[in-house]
Amino acid sequence: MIAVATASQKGGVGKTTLCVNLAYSLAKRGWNTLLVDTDPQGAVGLSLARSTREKRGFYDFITSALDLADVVLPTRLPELSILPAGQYDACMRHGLVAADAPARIRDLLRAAELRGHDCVLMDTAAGLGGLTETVVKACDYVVIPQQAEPLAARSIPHMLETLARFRAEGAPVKVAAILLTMVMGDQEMSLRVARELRQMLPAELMFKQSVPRMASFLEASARGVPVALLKHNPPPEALIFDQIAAELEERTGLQREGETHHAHASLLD
Amino acid sequence: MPMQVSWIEPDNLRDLVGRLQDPARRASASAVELHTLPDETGLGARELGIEDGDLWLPDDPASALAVPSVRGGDRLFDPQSAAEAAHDVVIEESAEVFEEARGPAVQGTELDLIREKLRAIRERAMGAGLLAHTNAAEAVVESPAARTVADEGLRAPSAPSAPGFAADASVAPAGAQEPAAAAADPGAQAPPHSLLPVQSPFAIAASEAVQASGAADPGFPAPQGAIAERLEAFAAWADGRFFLGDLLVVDDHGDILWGDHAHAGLVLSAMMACKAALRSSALGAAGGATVIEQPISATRMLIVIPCETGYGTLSIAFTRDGALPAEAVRFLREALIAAVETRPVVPDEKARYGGSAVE
Repeated sequence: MIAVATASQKGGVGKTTLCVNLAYSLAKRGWNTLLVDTDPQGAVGLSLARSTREKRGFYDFITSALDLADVVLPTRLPELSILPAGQYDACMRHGLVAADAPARIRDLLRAAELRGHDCVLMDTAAGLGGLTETVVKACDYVVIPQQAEPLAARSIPHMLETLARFRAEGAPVKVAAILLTMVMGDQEMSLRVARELRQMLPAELMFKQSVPRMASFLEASARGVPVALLKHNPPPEALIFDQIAAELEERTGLQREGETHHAHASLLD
Repeated sequence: MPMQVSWIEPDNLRDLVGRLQDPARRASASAVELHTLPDETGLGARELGIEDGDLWLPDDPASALAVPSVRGGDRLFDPQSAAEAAHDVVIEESAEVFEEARGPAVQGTELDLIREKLRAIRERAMGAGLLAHTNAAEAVVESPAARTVADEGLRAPSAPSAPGFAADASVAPAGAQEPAAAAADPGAQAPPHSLLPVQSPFAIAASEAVQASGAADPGFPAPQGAIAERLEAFAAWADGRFFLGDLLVVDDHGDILWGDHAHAGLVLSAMMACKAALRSSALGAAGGATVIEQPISATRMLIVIPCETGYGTLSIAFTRDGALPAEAVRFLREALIAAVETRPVVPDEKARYGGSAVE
């Protein structure tokens, strides 16, 4: 099993959209995926269903001795489960023991592995402080969604500096890659940012695929579905996340791990 | 070149990328041992010959070890009072100095990941009630002198005790065992920093006796040098006595205290897997420190001998053809305990370190 966190210094760069759609793509590709919402705003839950606001979830798990099975929500896709943020405010009122958080997050990952999940995808709040730091440190990989606009790009050195510090402190987390998001094909500044980053950063640190800014993502959020479920036949932009999922498999070794378990089958025999 | 809009310094970015892409640097053998077997005097690193420039030692190791949870804690959730916040700032600063200094030596390695997974297995077993909870930290800080032996059964009270090695010496206060051993057999007492036990005619004679009758005492004279020297002497003695070849001494967390790191990964993985399996079995639940004998090829066998010491459970791991006689297991156990629990006395310790650290 691998644990992947998303992280960005700046808010509103498309982390939750990425997580929801990427988790769906990974699950469609056969990986038993658990999407965990660690953002107190509960954006994953809000993206998918009205009822998740009342459900227990991540914060309830890390503050009390709950079984993961009690708080994970199944979806109609058997390979995809969701752990919503849960009752953040209630947990804050009862008092969180901050020192316990790393151990509880490790418990969560172990429990997920025992449940047979291949991949845990953790959506985080903006910034790399507080609980997000703990979450990122506990993961194997971090994906950095990076909005293709000048101000957001200027936060990259700070982001990398912080991640380098995590590693120096002994955290095993590795950077899977930076993913350009909200790229506006008709805006020269957005395209220039994308070009500059691809020039300056090594290819192994950048996803080949980027995520354009498209109205269909807004529409998917409004309807509470991954973009692939907007229509009976998934729209072309849904393939973007399949491509990102495939790249993530390569970058994290998930693919190799899977290949050892699944034999190739002929199309006809 | 057109104006850059991201305002990123390419050199700065290159440096950061380099830091992120650096494979986790492997901790040196010496550095690995620092936090795995601290002496009660706090001289672990110095005993192991780590220069001051190699590894920064905090004045108060306990506060340094406590730092991560404090740092993680105050910044995550709880609003702090002004006094607490001020205190945390001090701790955080010292933590950063500490982490900065020790960073390269403790970055994760593949072996660390294996260890982490093995620890996870152990914790899961504990959580499932298959494994009794142990507190290694308490064992480490506990004074050997004040310690009561929990596993007296391991030491066969009625076993004969030959000159030069008393079974009780392994659990007696360190200061008390030295005169006893010296009085019993002054000739067998190795001077500090020596490996004489291997060459000792006494040792050879005892080896033959063990093989012949299985009842003789091995006569391991634990030297009083640094822990690395004592373990080296133990390894040499064990090889000379029982022809064990390369052996590993590993603590209960899977950290190697002695042995060839180049060949340790596989043995360590097999050993920890065997231990995890054993712990989850009925034998493990019974609480006995059972010797693991695991065939690893047609002829070779992996043997792991757990030893309860004042520093927690240490294990001797080695491979050999066939099983080891019970007496030999007992001798190895007692010799390791003697090697580990002997108080380190380096002749000019006070002169070198100002005298306070060994008191």
